[in-house]
Formats: sequence, C-alpha cells, structure tokens
Amino acid sequence: MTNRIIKQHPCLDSSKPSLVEREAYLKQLDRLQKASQPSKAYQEMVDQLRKATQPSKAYQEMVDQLRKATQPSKAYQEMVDQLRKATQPSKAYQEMVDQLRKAAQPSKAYLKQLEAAERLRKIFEQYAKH
Amino acid sequence: MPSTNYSDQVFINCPFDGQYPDMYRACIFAILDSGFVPRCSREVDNATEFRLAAIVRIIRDCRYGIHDLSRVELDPRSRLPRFNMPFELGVFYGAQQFGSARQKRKHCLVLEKEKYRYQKFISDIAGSDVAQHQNNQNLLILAVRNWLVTASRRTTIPSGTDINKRFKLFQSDIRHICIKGSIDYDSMPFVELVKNMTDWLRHNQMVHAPLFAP
Repeated sequence: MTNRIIKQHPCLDSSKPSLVEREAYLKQLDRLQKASQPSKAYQEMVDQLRKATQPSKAYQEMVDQLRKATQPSKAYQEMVDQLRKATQPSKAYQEMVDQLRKAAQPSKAYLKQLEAAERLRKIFEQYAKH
Repeated sequence: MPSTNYSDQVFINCPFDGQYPDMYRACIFAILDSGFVPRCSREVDNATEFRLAAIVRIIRDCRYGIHDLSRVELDPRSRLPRFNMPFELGVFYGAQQFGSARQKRKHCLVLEKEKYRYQKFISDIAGSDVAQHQNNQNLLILAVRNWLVTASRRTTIPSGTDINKRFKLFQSDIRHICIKGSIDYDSMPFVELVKNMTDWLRHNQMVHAPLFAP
C-alpha cells in the first residue's frame, strides 16, 4: 500500500490556518475537553461507592433511637434540679454564717494591742542577748 | 509539505462563471486528490502583472494542462463568443511545440460538453483526445483522473469513485463550515478554495493500493 502525497500550492501561505484547519482544531479541542472529563461508567462507579459507604437507613434509625435512650428522662432531670435546689443553703442560714465569720474576726483594738506586745517582746529579746 | 515541481503542476483553463461552480471545484479537487497542484490565472493577485504575462508564467510552470471548451458560446448580451479558453489552449500548445525540452514534455486534456461540438468552432484540434463531461461533475472527475493516470503513469492516484465520494464529503463539510461562519462559499477565491481543499485532504488522508504491480 502506498500513501498519496498532497502537495502544497506555491501561492498558499501555510502559516495561516484555513477554515477547514480551524474547524479541525476546534473539533480536536472539543474531543480533548470531552476526554479530560470522567467517563459515564467512572461517574456511575463513584456514585455507587458513595452510596455503599453511606450508613443504611435502618442503621441510622437505630443510632437515633440509641441516642434518645441514653439521654436522661425529663422526670429524672426535674428531680435532679429539685435536689440541687434543696441542697443549696437557705438565705437566712447564709446570712448567719456571714455574721459568725465577722464575729470570729479579731477587733481592731485587739490587733493594735497585739502589735504593741509583739514589739515589746522583740525589745526584751534584744536585751536578753546583750 | 513537499515543494512543487514542474511534473506536479496542472494548469486549469476552465470557465469561472457562476453557472457551473461545482464543475470548476470538482476539477480542482480531482487534481489535488490525485497528488497534483492546480494552477490557474485566478491565483494572481498582483495588479502590476499583465494577465497574459501571468498566464504565460503559469503555463511555463505546468507540465499538464486541462482546457475545458464547454463554455465557448455566444455571450447573451454581446452576442460574441468567448475566446479566452481556446486562446490559452493555443498558448499551451505553442509552448509544447516551440519550447525547451522540458516544455516539450507537456500534456493536455481538452474537455467538451458534448462529443464533436468543438469541431464546429475549433476544428484544428480534430483528432486530439477530447473528453466529454456533459456538465456532470462525476464525469469530469473521472475524465481528469483517468487522463492524469495515463499521462503521469503514477500508481498512487485514487479511483474516480473514491475521488467523487471524497469531493461530495468535502463539499458537505465546507458548506457546513461556511454556514457556521457566515461565509459565502460561492464567492470564495481560488487560492482560499485550494487551501481549504489541501487541508481537508491532509486531515482526511487515505491509503491507496497501487494500480500497477511495481
């Protein structure tokens, strides 16, 4: 088999594309763009994989039920709140505790006398050393 | 693309009027698909070159010549015949007779609409091989193809049926492209037409079996 050679006309400018060549380039570009997109079979496989890795509906329902079951009931929650309130000290008790705390603190005069006594003790200690 | 030489070039002396544009295109296509280069006075766009000088220059470059005398008829307005085609045939014949050794290797095909019609206006060429195409592009392609096979002895020329099929495909493709691009195919210049045909043939390569055993 021999291939016939198409020869170039001497007046033709081969640097400028003809209408036919431009159309061929556009078709080629179109083909390349299509080729660079994933095929339909590939896309279907990806969809199937995505579906396969998603949890089933029955499983999802079971998880929801378990979540509900592990949550404390409303009645239990109310009882806990009441207990928390009951174990908190009353206002009157709190005031009494505050007054007692104040009463147990030493008076200002007593503190001054204590400081003076402390100074005297230091002086006596110094005399005793000499 | 290979450069063209004397034995590859075919001078086309055909009517370019708008009445049979597909005949003109079929002739160009058959030459290109056979592996030759069509040349004609329409490729000249240089206003400084005289038309006759351009024709003589092109004839000198071409070993082969196709002369279609089918449109030698009276102009409906002037009532005078058109003599350009018989005149260019005369120039080609003269080059073959009086030219150099290279010019003496010239071959020409004379085409007519009907058998023996030419004898009524150019009886001097009686006895020469004159093919008739009956204004049918299939017959024209076949005549051009068969003559090129005989004159050149090349074995790579496709069959007339193949060229016809491919010409129809080309016509369909180029018309579609022209419609898409709002281009008037009927007014496409010779050089642009040849460029499109050449590129189309390059993009639609076919492998041919040799006609003769090597």
